Amino acid sequence: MKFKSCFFLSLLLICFSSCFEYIEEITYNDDQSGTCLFTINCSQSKDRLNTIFKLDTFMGYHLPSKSDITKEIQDAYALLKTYEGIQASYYNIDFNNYIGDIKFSFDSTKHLNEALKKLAEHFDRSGQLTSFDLFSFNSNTFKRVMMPSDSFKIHTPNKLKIFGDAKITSIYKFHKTVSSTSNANAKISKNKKAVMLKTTVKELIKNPNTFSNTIQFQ
Amino acid sequence: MKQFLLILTLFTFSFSNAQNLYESIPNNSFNVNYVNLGALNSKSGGEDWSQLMQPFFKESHYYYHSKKPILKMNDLFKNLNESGLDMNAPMYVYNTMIGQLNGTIYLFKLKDESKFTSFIGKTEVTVESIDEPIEAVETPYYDEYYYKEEEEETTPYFLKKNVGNGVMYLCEKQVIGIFGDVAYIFNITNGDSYLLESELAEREKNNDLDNDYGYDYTYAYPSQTEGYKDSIYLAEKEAFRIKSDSLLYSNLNNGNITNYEQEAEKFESLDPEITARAKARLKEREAKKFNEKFEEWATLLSNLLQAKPEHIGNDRNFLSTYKSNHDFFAYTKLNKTYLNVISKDFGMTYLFGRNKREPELSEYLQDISSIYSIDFKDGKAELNGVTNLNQKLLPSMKTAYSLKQSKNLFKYIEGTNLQGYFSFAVNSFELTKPYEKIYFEFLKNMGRNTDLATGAELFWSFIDKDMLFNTIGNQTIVAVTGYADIKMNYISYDYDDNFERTETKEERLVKQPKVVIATAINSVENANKLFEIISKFTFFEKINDNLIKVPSNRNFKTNLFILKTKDAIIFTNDEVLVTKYPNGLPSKDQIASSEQKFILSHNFAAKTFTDPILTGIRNNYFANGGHEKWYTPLYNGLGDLEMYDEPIKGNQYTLHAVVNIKDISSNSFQVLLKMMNQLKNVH
Repeated sequence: MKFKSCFFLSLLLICFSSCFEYIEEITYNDDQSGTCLFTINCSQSKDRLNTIFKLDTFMGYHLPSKSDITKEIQDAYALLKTYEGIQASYYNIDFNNYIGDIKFSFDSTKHLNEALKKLAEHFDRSGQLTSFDLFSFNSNTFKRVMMPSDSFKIHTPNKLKIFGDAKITSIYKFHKTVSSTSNANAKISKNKKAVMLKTTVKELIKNPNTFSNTIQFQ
Repeated sequence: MKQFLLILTLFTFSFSNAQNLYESIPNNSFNVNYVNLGALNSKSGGEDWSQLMQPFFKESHYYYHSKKPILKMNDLFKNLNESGLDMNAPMYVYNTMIGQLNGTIYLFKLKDESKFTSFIGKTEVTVESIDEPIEAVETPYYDEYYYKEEEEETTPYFLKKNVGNGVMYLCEKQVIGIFGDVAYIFNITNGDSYLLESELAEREKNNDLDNDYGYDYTYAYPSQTEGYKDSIYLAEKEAFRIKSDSLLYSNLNNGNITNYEQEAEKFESLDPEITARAKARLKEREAKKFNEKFEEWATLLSNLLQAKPEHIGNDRNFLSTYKSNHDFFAYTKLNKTYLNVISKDFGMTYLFGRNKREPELSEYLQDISSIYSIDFKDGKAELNGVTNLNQKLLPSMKTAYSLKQSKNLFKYIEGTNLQGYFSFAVNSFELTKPYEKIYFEFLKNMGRNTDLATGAELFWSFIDKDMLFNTIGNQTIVAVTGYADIKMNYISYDYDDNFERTETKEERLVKQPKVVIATAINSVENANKLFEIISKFTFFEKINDNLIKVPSNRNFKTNLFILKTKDAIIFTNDEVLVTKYPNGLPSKDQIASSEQKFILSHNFAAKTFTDPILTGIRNNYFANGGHEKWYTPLYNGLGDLEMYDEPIKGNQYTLHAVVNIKDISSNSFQVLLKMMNQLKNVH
């Protein structure tokens, strides 16, 4: 199976699971280098995924096997390590609970953006994904940029239903003290050095601005 | 003179087609399907039903290699109304053996010959006379044979031959004959391994006809197996070797060689012209063989439409089914032709003994036939299956099927939200008696090691048959009795004040179908012993003397329970049943008395209740919507499904299946097609 189609089908599997949680956690150091941890947790849907993984095809799609998915993640991890300014730390796939983590360090926000763009290009089946910087960080402001609306092709309410109660969470941690955030749904931690934003995938698709946030430092 | 006689014969045959199509089907056919195209077309009410025909046209003739047939069945039947077939006449699809050829024959009437012939391959090689050689024959080489995509298939070379008032198209995989308004398509399974009459005679002479593997690759694919290396090739190669060796030695002696290995390699290579000439000769030989092969086939198959003295209509079971005017029926029988075909296709000569030309099957399996018919009526579709048993098998079958379902099992089957059930009552011990004889006969006929059969028989004699067949399992009901809330653990995350995350275990309720398997105890002593042994497994949890719990794990999301009562053993995930009602449910909650009566009347009985099933799936798994597209057509269209058998009468065992539809005034075929067409695009 080709790499990209397998990745797409892995995503499709996650969508079939309806109840999943995506967590994006970035921890910055003083020099704007940092670590990035992406987690996908499908544990709530493990019974359904267990069943789906026993099938060859589901809803007309040929499904990737666990070994296919492991290989794609391994390949993505190997690819990531080759990008400039990126030092890959680890990845983990737990097929008992259907939780996957990938963690890596980056030298700067520029390197982080470049790496994410290259990964997105690599996995983009259509080749039509808009290229953009996801984060920006200057001396006093950190921005999580909103997704361009054309990144989500799923608009019809019927298709949105496949995402069920899927959640998406971002956590950004800094060495500086946060003074304010532009997104009213974002929470600032007690030590004022972290910001968390929780939403649902459905909301994000309906309104790509839901996940954007500008964080001001003191 | 020979040609004149051939033409005369073909001409005569072409004018004596069978009055009734089935009269041309030889009685040795082992599988005859009848499709009443006219009835189905009128009952379809204009809905597309071509898709239903697709399972009949599995392209088995693509199996071994990638050569295309002349006509692709899927293309022809994609739209039946455009196929050129006479849609008011029946079509037969049958399997038989004609001469050495076996395969599937489609026999039908034509309404529009030009439409039908438009499906025949475009790149035909027309040969006016059968004596004229084919100029070129594609011979794919080894690595081209396997795993080819459809679009890469090679187009076959084939002959178009006019015979009398008909025309035949012949290729290695298929022969098509069109004679007036009747046509046939013979998809040949073993065309590539066909032996010419002359080759057959040669093998007979050398006593080389039996082959344990039934298939001679060296013969069928000489190009794969370096079959092009004929005697001329070997002689030319030898001459080339002598010449090149002499040159090499001469150069060595003259001191002209500085790099010995390089020179040796050069001299060891073979002139490619020698190989090319050998392959060209192979092509010529194969072309010649194709001509000879097709000539024999044309003679063999030109009378395929002629009424046979021993035709399938002579079989009273077939004829009585035919006269019942079904929409569809399939007639199968175990006969020598069937054995010949499977032995040739799969090399299963051990079924009737090594080194024997004629199949010899166990007397327990001789003359068994079965007929499955389908009739689409208003409000329901009926499927009936009748198996005609032989006298050897009949007594055991009658005894085995004299057992009735145990009334004691009903109290464990909850009826308040019953989704469906499956009940059987068969004396398996009795049924085993003929089967063990058949099995040991097979083993002995394998011939490779008769001691293996004796060893197996000895091992079998040590087995406690009473424990194996007479403990539980002869009377069993499997039922889906509703839905239960099952607790399921999953991992989530918790965050502290500074958003440091920790892993937490959460619990949620999921709906799962409640399944009950209740099997009557035939021997209390055996059952106690069995239960005692099973309860010792460490991964089981013994709740009490009569109840074992199989805790949920990765493969079983729910706890399973094994309950032993005085009259039954129950396997279920319904915790309430085994803990609260181990002696049976209150009578008001048990399966309805009408269903009990139905179960008791049959050895085999099954029902599914469409409304509760669909409503249960909708409420439990699609509570937030997303079910509308599939739910509505199914709910509005489909009624309950039921299957049941009848006690053996004479030598016949009969099975019925009924698919009910809700609209009892409409024909079920149209309603089911409409429903299927609606469901096709649900995604």
